[in-house]
Amino acid sequence: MSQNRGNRRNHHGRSGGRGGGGGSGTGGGGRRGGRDGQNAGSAVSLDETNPIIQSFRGYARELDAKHDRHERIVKCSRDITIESKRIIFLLHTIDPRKNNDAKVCEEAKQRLENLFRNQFFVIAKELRGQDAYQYARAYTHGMQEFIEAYSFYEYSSGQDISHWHAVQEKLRYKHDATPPVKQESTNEPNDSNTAPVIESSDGQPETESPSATTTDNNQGTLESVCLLQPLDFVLGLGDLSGEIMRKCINGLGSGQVDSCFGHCRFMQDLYRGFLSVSSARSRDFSHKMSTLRQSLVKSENVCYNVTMRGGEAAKWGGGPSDEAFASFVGNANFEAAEEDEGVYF
Amino acid sequence: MQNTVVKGIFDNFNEYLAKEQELRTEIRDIVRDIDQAAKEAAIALQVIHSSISDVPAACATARTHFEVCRAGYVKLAALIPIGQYYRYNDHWHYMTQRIVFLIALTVYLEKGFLVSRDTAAEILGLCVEQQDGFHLDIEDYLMGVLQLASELSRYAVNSVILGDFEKPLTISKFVADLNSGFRLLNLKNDSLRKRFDALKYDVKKIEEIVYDISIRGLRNDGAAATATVAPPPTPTTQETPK
Repeated sequence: MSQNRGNRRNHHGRSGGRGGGGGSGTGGGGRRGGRDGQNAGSAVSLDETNPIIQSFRGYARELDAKHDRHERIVKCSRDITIESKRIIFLLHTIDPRKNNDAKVCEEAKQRLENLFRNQFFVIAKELRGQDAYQYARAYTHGMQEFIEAYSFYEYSSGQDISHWHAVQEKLRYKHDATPPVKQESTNEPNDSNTAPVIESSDGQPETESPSATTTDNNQGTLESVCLLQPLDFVLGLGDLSGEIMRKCINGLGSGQVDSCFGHCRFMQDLYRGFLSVSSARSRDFSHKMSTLRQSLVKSENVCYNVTMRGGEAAKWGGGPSDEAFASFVGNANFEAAEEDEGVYF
Repeated sequence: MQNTVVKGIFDNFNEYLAKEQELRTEIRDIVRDIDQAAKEAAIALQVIHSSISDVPAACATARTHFEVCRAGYVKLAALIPIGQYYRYNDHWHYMTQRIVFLIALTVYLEKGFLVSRDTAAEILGLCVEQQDGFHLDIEDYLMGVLQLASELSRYAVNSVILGDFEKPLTISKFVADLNSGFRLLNLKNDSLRKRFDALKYDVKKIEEIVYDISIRGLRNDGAAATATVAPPPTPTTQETPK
């Protein structure tokens, strides 16, 4: 490494290189320019005394730290994506005929809470003291998938969809200043003590962002935040439409004809919401919008068929039995859902 | 009931977008002013390609324009909420790269060394560390430095035209140092990497110039006597750049 040999000359070289820009105060020596190493210039190997080399060593460290952090966040984001997809899959197993909604919702809730406690907490810790927007792209996919799962859970269990402020509050963590270790028990998102904060940031979305920086509440307690961008939230809601379309069609398969209309109405509301957005600076947005429209049209067709032929079906089968429905809802998705019946878990 | 919830969310979202849009408009106005000053500095510095004697004056002019940039950045820094630098930095990072390049060129012309990130930030009134607020992003700095290499390869050509055969030699040394500096970095496959890949062409170009000078005995290190005579390629001056 020849660390020793290099070190002594470091000071001189650097103070020259920075043009006296307040680098290291000790190297008061000569103003050595970049050509300092010219005498030794014949050496092909790296000239460690060269101020350029020295400053670039620093830059390399900084860039590496940044890339590493980015990679770690991406890894977390992947985990979140996978788990979110599984939760969505789980939520699709809700079947009124089996009366399992309470049980499935409970399990989904547990797994969502786990994501809050583990993966998102890791991201929040990585973002502490950083500009969250710098790494926002690293976890945007995980976040969108998560929002999809989370709002689908809320929708499936009959709750209202949360506002993004509420979700953001759940992504706010307090933990000890001691070297960050997972503290599963203490970080339970607690609505009662976060409620006042929600209020203050209400209608003032800007306030939620500076939270990416550290705030020492008392000594020893740090606050980390995993920033949720409203755009990610809205895009997540866009993904939700696809799930609801599936639910709508599955509902038809399981004979829950009435629920189809409810799902369809919700998607219409969602579509209206998307239409109202005037200028989202995102390419994803318009893409989501056209997908949303397709899903909406599909579920509207389901409702149309139910209205149009529902009565006839009752005559054919003496009730909305699966077979009768399969015969008149000529919908590929429906057929698929039908085949999976029973095996679909 | 879902209806009102969804509507509420989207109303808030629109409100949020409107606010962001407003701020972006303000940012754009300031950025335009800074950009204008940077352009004038760039124009002033173009004189180095046509006249050697005007270089100090050009540097002085450029520095006055940097002052204007600095004032603009101070305004910008006041506008950007804490911790949201990277939310809006697409408005200014190209511009910042170019200004860093201009500063680096000015400093190189004046003193002959590479401006450090600290000094460049100081000239623009920016911080170095992200934590301190509005800062000079490291990638913007490095991009600016890479632009410097391209400009210097042009400068080397033109200094030969203007009869200065010493300059290409110092430039060659400098750019070679830059090159080895960049080799220390682990670059991701991003824009910085692509720009860095172009550096080797600048290095090559400058080495060719040095070769041309050397082979004709025009460099006057040590063997000044032979150089003044400028004979066709002689065995005494066969050394080529590494």
